Amino acid sequence: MRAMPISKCETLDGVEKAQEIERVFAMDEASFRAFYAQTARPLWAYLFRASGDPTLAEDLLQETYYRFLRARPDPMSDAHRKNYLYRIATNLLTDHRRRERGKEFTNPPGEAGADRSATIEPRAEGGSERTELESAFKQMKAREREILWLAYAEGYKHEEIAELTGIKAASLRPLLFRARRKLAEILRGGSKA
Amino acid sequence: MKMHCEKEEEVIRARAEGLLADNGEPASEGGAALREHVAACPICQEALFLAELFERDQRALGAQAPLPEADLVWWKAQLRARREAVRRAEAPVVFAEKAAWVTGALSAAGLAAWQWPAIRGWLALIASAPILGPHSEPLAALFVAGLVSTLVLAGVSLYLIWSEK
Repeated sequence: MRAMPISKCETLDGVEKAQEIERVFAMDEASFRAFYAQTARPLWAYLFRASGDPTLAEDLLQETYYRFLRARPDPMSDAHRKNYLYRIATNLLTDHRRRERGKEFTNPPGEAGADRSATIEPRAEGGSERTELESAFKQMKAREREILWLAYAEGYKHEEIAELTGIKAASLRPLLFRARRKLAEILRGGSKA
Repeated sequence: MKMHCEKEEEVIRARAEGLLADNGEPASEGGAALREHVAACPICQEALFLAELFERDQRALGAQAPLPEADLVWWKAQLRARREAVRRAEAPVVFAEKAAWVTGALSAAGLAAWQWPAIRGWLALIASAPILGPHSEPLAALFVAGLVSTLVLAGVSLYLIWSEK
């Protein structure tokens, strides 16, 4: 980050402030609003499904956008921008998991995470399907949830998922296959893979 | 069992692009070929099943997501960026202050060691004062230490008051 003298920082106003923000952030406010409107909902869904915790998902969402704004990547297409955003989000999920070392996101019933996830009530339409998916996801490992969501909800190619998650491309296919089988079996009511 | 189908990614992409209609009817020639493939490929069927399930889930979650307003996210980011800028700007000052304290303490210790004979002389002089009585060197040392501490604390207090202003 570029250091800004305190005196200058305190006296920024009007055009000067806008120019300073433009230099510090990756985009101006209007572009950010448009980008946020386009990406926030699917990103939150990814963070929620990967973490199983709506509060954590919201925190990580804000952190993701902050880091994105501060990273000031070179000008890029919308698709690349989205990839960049998801890479930051995935890194944040990984960092969080490392901090919570030894613990999986899946919490046994009655623990804090499980209770908090219940605050997103499935609505009537497709409610039972969502409850089943939520319950199935709780039986999956965090990494499995991430790659499944990136592959089948976000439609990322395997190479892109490998890049986003830091998993070797050669390892991704068997991992994804096993995760998909496991989820399908859980959803069908079969035993865990 | 086969672990991977070469067409899986193509099928998922085609579905996302609407080339495979939800009702099972192909939207194009390419879509028709893929649809045929899916009908015969259990891996692609499973992938397609998950993609459709996730899409519905994503849509439902998105509608319910407790998202903060874009304005709030932008404002918080601005505030945080500014705080970080201030912290960065202050970092050399904080470092210089700490360095000054350490240097001051080391200098005082060095001076005391260097001038130790003179200090002992002063202590002996103070200890010989009739008011302290005989064998009063420890008492004199305590008195000097107290005096020095008071002076140091007074200096620090003055500095803090001055820096607050």
